[in-house]
Amino acid sequence: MQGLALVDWYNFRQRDQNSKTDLELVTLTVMDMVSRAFATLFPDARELDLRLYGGWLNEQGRPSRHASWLHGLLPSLRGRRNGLIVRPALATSMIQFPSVPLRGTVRHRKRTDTYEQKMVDGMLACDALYAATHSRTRVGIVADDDDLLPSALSSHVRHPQAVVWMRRRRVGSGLNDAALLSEGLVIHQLEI
Amino acid sequence: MRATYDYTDLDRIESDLASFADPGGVVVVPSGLRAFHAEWKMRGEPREATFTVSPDRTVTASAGGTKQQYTAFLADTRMADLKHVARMIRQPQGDGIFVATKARRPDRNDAPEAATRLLARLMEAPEPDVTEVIMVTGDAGAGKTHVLRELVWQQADRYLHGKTDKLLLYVNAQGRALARLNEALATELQDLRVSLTYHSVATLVRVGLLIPVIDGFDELLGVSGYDDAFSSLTTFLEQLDGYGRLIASARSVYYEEEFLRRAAKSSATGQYLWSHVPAEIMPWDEGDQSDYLTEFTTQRALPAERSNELRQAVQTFKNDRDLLKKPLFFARTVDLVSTESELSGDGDLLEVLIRSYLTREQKEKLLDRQQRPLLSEDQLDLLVRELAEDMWNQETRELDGNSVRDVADYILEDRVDESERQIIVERMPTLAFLTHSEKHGTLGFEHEVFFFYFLAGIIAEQLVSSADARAVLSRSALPNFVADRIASELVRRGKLESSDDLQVLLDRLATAGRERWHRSVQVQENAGLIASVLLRTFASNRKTGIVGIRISTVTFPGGYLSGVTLRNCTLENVTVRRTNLESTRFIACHAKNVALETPLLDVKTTRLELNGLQVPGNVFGVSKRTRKGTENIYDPDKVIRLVADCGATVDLNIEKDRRNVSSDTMALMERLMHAYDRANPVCDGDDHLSDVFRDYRWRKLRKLLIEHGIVKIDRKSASGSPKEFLRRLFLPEQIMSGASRASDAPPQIVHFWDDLESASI
Repeated sequence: MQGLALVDWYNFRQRDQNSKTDLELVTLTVMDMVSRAFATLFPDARELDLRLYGGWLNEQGRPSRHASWLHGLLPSLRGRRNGLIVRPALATSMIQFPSVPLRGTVRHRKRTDTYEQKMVDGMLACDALYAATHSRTRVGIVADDDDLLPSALSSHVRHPQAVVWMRRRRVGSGLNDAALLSEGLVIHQLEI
Repeated sequence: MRATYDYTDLDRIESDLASFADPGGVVVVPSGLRAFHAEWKMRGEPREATFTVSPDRTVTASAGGTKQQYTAFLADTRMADLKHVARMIRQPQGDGIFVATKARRPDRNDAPEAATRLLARLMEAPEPDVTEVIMVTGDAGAGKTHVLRELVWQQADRYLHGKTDKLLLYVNAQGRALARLNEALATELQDLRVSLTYHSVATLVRVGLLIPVIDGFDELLGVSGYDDAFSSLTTFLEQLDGYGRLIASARSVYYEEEFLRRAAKSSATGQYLWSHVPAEIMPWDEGDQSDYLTEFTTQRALPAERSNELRQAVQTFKNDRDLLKKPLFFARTVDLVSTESELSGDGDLLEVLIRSYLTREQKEKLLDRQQRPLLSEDQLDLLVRELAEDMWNQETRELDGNSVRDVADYILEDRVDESERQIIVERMPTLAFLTHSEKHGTLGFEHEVFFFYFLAGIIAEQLVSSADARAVLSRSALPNFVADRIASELVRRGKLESSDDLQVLLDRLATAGRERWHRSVQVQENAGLIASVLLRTFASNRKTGIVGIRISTVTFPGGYLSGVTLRNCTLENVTVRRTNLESTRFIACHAKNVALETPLLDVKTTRLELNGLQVPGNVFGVSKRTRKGTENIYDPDKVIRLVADCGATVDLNIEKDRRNVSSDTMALMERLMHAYDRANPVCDGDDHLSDVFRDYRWRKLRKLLIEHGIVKIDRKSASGSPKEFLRRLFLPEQIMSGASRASDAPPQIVHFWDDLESASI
């Protein structure tokens, strides 16, 4: 059985974590937490595709600095972890449209000289729904904030046994946790 | 080298600079009509330069009191520092033997020549009008990687001696992770330890300073994880914006054509511009083998007569002459016969090589403190096989230390104790066909052929044991070599002796491809590849052919079914894609949902008695051999006649659907489509296409094509004055399908043909 983790990667990075080493540490931590969660929740899973979502392509379709670093890093992070074959990859296109890389998921605001992400949550949400509906994989939506809550609930309805919301926050601490749990959605607290 | 630009403004230069700059971009201040001053930061250092575009569009950069041509400025130590990159590439090479493997251009009648010389000439040719992809094809073990690495090294050497201003960058697309160009490129740059970033590579390629050499290009046509690997290539080509050149290698012409087909699809939407130059690696001839033996005996200080003895010893493998024409096999066989005099030439050469290596390593290297073997030969075989399986499942060609230990623990847990397992894991990298990467701390196979050998054993095992073959067939595109090995393995095990055996295997392959998921296309192609080899192998010693077999849910990806006769067989949900059917005979067969996509036919020897085949609905072009090579035919009328001549049942009323277009105009359309088979867009003034553009009908035809949005005009400056290019917006087979009124062609195409009919050109 295969697992699919859809990770809102920037949720797990602190604002001051900007060096290459920081990025590696963040990614390793996420891989470790998520693979352990999958091994616990889905003992029949043998492989885990870890799709990392973030602002990876700018308006010209060029990879961001973080994306470039991660491109060089990810091949060496593929391997066995917590009993699973773990394959991390940057999500630059939607699962349903793999040949359409989405440009402008990161945009530079010249006025403030800052970068902002666009479409990332939407992309992850659509992928979660698509995977829950069209594949036999176990799906983990890995996000700390509530932006992806609606997508977790909708995906759960599509395939109740296959979808889990994974986050670092304690189960029960969210405003809507009780309602979600009563609908049968599994919320799993990730442990570092 | 590109010295001029067709920039009407300086946006492109700003964008080029941004690819070198730190985040924060480039601050630009215009300083005249055709000049601007730019400031940016690079690795934290402030930089500035002024750029001027002269009336002939030559760009000059002034920085730090020095004036340079734009390309020289980009190559300079303060920007890309290509000299440093060249120095890193030109690291001392191993002391292996290099024999100049030959190559030729299959689209020309030129004699073969040294592959490095041919490729060097192709890449030093004047800048192409559109991005040029030089595609090098050769089977596994044919020496592609050796040639490409040598070429890259030689070019770096020439660069450092000031003999060229183009540098090659080797990119292993089949290495650490399968099938992601961006990752492969980023990792290569990292390994070279240069400050050049992934961002700036496209800029340097576009201006003609850098040519990426993508080894294992065919793996970029597969699926990796949830990604379509081709999209990483598309993104890169798109950034080139129709400029520059790249060299790519693929293991078979099928993948070369598959690239052209997919590139044509993307290009039709206007994403990028490309043209294609094929080069084929030739097998070693006796002269090459002789050169190798001379070098071999010289390097090892052996007496000259030993060379002849070795040659004779190698020739005892008379059943594998073709394999010995591949450098890898020849070199390994020489290596082995030079140390083992009792080697028998009766068996399967690769099998003999692998077994000899396994025996030697097991007896000489994997020993305990008392010098006794730690493992039996079977245990060692199992261990290496499991390593190969884990690599395949991880979709990588190298395993990290954890994975090697995990596999060793899992396989050997009950057989040897922990301290001995530790010794085995430590010594694994020293085994003859395995290799250790110091940089990455990983273990891999020394050559893909060894990996493929063990992989084939795994797949054969799964097909025999009726395990779910879906996963193993979904990882990546299997090369022909693996399919051939699978068939050999099944024959060796006696699992391909009767029609029932064949049916069982074909059914397992069909089952694997039945479920629809994001990798089902890849599973069906791999299943089809294996099925075609099984059919060929089974048919090879049966004069009456194969009778009463059911083939379903597979795609035959290129290759050939030559010599195969199928009688009373059923084909269901089968796609035959660019497969050689020249001496294939389907006799009294039944077809349900069978599609033929430009199969290679010969009216004298191909039989297509496929009852139920929809003609022309499910026949998307055909291909036939001509004096110049093979030629695709898209004209529905000709396609119908050709398949009918091969025995296919065709509705005789089909004539009524034929357009009233003169045969000369149809021939002109076909010539145009042949040009589009190899490039998109095509240049209106291209001398090589004078049979199209100098035809007196062309002007009227061109007008109609543009009016109906079948092609569109692009103006682009290649070298000198701007040229007009015609970009096709549909695939050739789509455009030509409109020649039949019965087709489901898009409305623009139907209207184009309506007008072509009434225009009586």
